[in-house]
Amino acid sequence: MEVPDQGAMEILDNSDDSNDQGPVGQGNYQVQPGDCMASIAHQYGFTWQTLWNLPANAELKRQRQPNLLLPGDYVTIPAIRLREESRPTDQLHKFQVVGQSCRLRLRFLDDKKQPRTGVAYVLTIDGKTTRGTLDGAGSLNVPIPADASQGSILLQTGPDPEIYPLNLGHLDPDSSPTGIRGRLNNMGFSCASDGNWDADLQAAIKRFQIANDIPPTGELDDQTRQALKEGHQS
Amino acid sequence: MAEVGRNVPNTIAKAPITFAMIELADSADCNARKSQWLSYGFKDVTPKFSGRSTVPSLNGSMVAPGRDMLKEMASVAADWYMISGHHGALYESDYDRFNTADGAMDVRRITNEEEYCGFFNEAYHESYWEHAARDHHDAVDLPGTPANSIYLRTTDAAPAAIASHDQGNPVFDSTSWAPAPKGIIISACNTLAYRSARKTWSGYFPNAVIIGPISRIVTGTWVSSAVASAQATNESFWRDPQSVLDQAGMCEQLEKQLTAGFPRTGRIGLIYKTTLYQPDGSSVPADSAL
Repeated sequence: MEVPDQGAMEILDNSDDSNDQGPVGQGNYQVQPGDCMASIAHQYGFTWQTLWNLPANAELKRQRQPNLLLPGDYVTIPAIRLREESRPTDQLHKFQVVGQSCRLRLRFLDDKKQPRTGVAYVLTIDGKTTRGTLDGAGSLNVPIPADASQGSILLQTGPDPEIYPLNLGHLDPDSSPTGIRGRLNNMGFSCASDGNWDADLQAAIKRFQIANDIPPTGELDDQTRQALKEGHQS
Repeated sequence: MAEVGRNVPNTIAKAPITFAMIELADSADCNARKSQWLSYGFKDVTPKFSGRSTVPSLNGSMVAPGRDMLKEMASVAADWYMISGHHGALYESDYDRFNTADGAMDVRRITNEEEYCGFFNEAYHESYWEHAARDHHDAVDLPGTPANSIYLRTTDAAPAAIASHDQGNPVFDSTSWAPAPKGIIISACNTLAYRSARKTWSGYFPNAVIIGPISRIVTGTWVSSAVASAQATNESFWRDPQSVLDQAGMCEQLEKQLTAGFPRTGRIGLIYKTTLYQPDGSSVPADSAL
């Protein structure tokens, strides 16, 4: 696989961004919406661990999680090196590609924060459909292709099934306003998916605080951030 | 659209549906609706006062601290509000301004032209509101002014100076960044009969569902009963009424169901996206004369 020469690309280093709300990292690849390390690595023929552990990606590793990147972050992707393996002819040899699958982990709660145990679901990922039942924690945990980008899940809840379109890989870090928005929306506190720290986001935070018996300030204080993290689990 | 991460836990949950209530008079209707909403699993976010479990009333002994509660109402960001009390012209003697040529009371002119209207508590029936006039609005000089008078204007027309008492209406607090409620249920006579009140409601809340009487009512429980009996008011409706009522014909259907559950001696209306839906099946711009 051909990889652009790193030296010819624009380098951005946001390591001094102490508030951790903007893009970070350096390198020749700019993270796009829907990217995570696994999908980027899959695209360029690496394992995600190979890229993640590169010294050039140390800043990214310090400020991000491998599956929660912010669009605009930079990743260093080295040129791919051909690896030759000598094997005798006229024999059968097995080669295994490692580390290229991902998993989709979803948990469903009702409006009293109780798990929606035993609900049958139909999951469609990039056109492929699987069926199952939510486990005792109201969860599912299924393998998905690393480059899967779109999906939906239908909960068979009687005459009015619930359908949730899924934007895979689009959950941003919780240090960003879009990351907070995504988590609030997933947990039923509607706000625009894009935008900064504006009144719309404050209103959703306030609704979340009221629902969680936190003083409704509309500000993302430590207690609120922790409750959001615990509620969303990521 | 759920934005989810790969290889990380994600939670998709339903937020509780929240409600808050303002009660200015008899609390039977509010308590009935509160019990019903609680039985649905909704969350009561009405500011608590003195640890009471019943709907806070601004009537009688709860009036003074109730004013503090009113200010808090603006910030609780409830999905649904219920407002209950007496509603009418600021001073009943103002009705004389809209008499016909032969001196008879012209009700149509009153509802279409009277701008100084709002909510009152029981003091409305205790001489102050009914006998004073806008030309004598200095309450300090009014004999027999009840100490617990409450007036919450529902129009922008009534100037602050015309009512001596605090008339801040938390629902019309345009300076608050609290999100607009999904719906407002009004339990008071003639609330949606006044053109100016309809104009204000629909102006402040162009996307909210607003349900209220457009006639006198004998009891506020009429409204609660009508709403409770409407089949359209299922969980989907309470959670996201806009997505339900944006469908063709749903406003008309809801209005029909509300009317069917309302006594024939009264009329109940529905305002949604600046349109008033009436019991006879017609609909008009909310700010138009009837």
